[in-house]
Amino acid sequence: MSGAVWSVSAALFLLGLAGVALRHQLLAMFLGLELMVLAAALALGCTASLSGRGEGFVAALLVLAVAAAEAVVGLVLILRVRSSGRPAETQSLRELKG
Amino acid sequence: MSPLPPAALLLFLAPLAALAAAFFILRPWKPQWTHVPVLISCGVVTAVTAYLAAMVYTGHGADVTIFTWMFAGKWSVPFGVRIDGIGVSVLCMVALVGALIQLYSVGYMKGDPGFSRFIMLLHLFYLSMIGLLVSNNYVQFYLFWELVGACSYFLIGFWSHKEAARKAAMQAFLTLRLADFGLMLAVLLIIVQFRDTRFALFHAVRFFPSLYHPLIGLLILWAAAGKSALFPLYFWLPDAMEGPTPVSALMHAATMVTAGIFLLVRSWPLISVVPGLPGLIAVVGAFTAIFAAVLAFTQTDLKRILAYSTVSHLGLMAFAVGLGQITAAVFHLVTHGFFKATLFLCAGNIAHASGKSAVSVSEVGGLWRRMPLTFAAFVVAAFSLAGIWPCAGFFSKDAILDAAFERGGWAWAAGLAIAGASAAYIFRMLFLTFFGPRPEQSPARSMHEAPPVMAVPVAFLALGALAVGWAREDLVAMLFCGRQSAVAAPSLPELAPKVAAAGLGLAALAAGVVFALTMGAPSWDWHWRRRRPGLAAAFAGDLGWRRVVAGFTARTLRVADVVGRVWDHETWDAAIEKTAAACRALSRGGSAMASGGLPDSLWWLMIGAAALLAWAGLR
Amino acid sequence: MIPWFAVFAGSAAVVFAALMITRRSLYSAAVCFLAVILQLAALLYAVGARLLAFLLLLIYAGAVAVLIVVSINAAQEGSGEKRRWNHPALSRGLIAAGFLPPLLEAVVLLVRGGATPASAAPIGDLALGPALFGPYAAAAEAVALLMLFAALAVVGKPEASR
Repeated sequence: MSGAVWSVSAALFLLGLAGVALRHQLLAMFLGLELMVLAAALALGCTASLSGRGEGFVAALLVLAVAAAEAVVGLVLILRVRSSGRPAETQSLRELKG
Repeated sequence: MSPLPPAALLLFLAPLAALAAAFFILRPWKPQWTHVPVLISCGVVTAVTAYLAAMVYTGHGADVTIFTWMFAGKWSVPFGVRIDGIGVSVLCMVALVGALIQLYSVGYMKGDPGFSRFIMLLHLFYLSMIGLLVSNNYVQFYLFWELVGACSYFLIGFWSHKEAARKAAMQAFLTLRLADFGLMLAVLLIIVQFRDTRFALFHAVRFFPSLYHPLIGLLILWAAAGKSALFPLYFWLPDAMEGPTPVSALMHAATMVTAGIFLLVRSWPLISVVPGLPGLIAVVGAFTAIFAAVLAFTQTDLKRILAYSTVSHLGLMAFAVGLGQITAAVFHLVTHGFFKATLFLCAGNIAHASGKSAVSVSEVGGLWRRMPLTFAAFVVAAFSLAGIWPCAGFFSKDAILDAAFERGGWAWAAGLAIAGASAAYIFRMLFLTFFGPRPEQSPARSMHEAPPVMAVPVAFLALGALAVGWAREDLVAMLFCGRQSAVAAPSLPELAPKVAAAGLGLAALAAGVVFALTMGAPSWDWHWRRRRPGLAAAFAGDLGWRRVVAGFTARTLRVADVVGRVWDHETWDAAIEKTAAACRALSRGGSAMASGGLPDSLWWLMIGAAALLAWAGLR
Repeated sequence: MIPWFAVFAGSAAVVFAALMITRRSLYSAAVCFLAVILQLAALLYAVGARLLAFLLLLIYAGAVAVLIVVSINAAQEGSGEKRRWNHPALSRGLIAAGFLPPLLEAVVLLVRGGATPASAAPIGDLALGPALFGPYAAAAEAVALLMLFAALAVVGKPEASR
């Protein structure tokens, strides 16, 4: 059972990593990022539940909260990029200016 | 064994002193007197060898190291002198024949611009051959073997303005080099196997075949085949007749080519214990003998007939060695030296008289009237070669035929074939040169007898060709004394009347047949050449063997070209030149990694995180 | 029953995740993301972490996914783009090689890292609240502050050109 959970978590993490590394739209990369965080939270929660230790739940909840905060900040950044007129793509964002 | 008599050192010192005097004093000052110290040295050497022979005959051999030539830790190579029966018997022949030929060459080469160079080179060869014969161990033997080969190169190509002579010298040298490589490998293997190269070791101990033995034996056979012109590597010898006649007489009849047989005899303790190797030597020898005899029968140049005859007799000596009769082989080696040198010097007389260096059978004929002494010497030597009693060749050839008869089967058939064939070609040469003249021949007007300085050596050598055989019991006795061996040398086989009769009968039959063919009304010797030119060309090309050799050489050179030029140019040079391209590719790849684009930075992030995790996990 | 359900939910999550990263249209990707969240919530429920499952739905599906969809709308590039994948300067082989270490580590962890198997009865997770205010108070406080700062960052600096 735990093996199944962990393989799901690993698969999701790797897929998220692929999405971050291989897509060129920023929003698509962001989705991959969220997938990675989700995978981490899943691993934490399931382990906690299966092994009977409560700390895992706390950690999972905190991860979720941090992910939400990070989503807010990231999406705002993407919108700022868009509002400055450039497309939100990795190809065109080659300089740190702006 | 007894201590070395100081006289033995004269064997080296006298020729060295003569060469030094000739080179440093006489050559710059009076080159036409170069022969004086040389002939004195020849006399000294001959006297010393006679003394050493007497010493060995009375049972005092010697095997002494003069100094240590090279050493490495516990292993060393001595430079020494070995006086034993085999060495001294061949040494006597070489010293005497060599001295007489050097006397002859004074007359033959008179007026030649390279006279003093020739005399010195011939004497250097004499010295090397003597050094080879008294060598103590394989490495010293190899030194003198190479020296003899180098002198042969110088002397064959002596008339270096002739392109044929240069090519013949190069061919001889390269073929001998190929054979000498075998000897070098054999010596190295001997060092690996036995850790000692002295001949005394091999003669003192009876041993059993071990790991490298067959290989050593085969390599020694290969080296002997090159130097002594046995079947695969004989082809340099007929072409080496481009050199002056004294060279052909000394080197290629009496001495140098017998060095290979001498090597086989010295290595007999090694060879005899390898199963099958003596049989192989016998087969190679018999084949060479018959093959060369057939070819000798078809040649038109006088010296080439004698060259093929030498190849045939060397094959016969190898045949004797292979049958185990090393005593008979050494005996034949000695008698062959005398009669072949006589024959060559007679050919030299004819060449000198006609003013050319190469004489073909169409340019001679009916010479018995004009050159009686040469004719007499030639007849004696020819009878000796054909094995007719009472000449020396009869006894030595008959010894070998007796051994072949005892062996039976193919050996006996081969022996008979050799006997018949050798009688055939030598009588052909005798009839065509001295009888007649045939209508197809046109001898020069100027044919005259040779001057005394050339005639006297010929006479002495003919006397030797006649008489040496009468001393055969003494020779055998000498071969037995002074030679400590666990492997006893067989004595000469008993003279079976049946065998002697067979040999003589065959010789007489061959003589008769050849007389009819050459002196008969339609002279067959010219007709078959005209009627079948294809056959004549085949015989001229050694029945196809020369083409095989040329093909092999071409293929080897092609391989060498591929390795040397193509590999070197396209593999190594190209590899070096491609480093620039490699650097460029590396730089392209490297700059791609630092491109600054987001996905690449993410990749680095990924790799870094993974590395950290791995490090943490492994700890 | 429960293990099979969990396996089903987990594999469905993986499939939707794979779909998500390969969609050309960002809207479709967002919908797939939503599906992943639902499947994972089901998985968590099946394992026994019910509170966490609901919280996942609340926070992720309810807030984060909505934010994402709103941003896709605002960024105005939700419809299909010509290019999906970026073109890194590195060679493809190198990129692929970059995936190898995480994969290997995941495999190693799966094979080796054997924690205790499933216990008999799932533990109730209603002790989450006291835990947050007890031993993990500092952590919870830090996360709360983080969210505050995030909110401030959003509304804080108005751009000149909007």
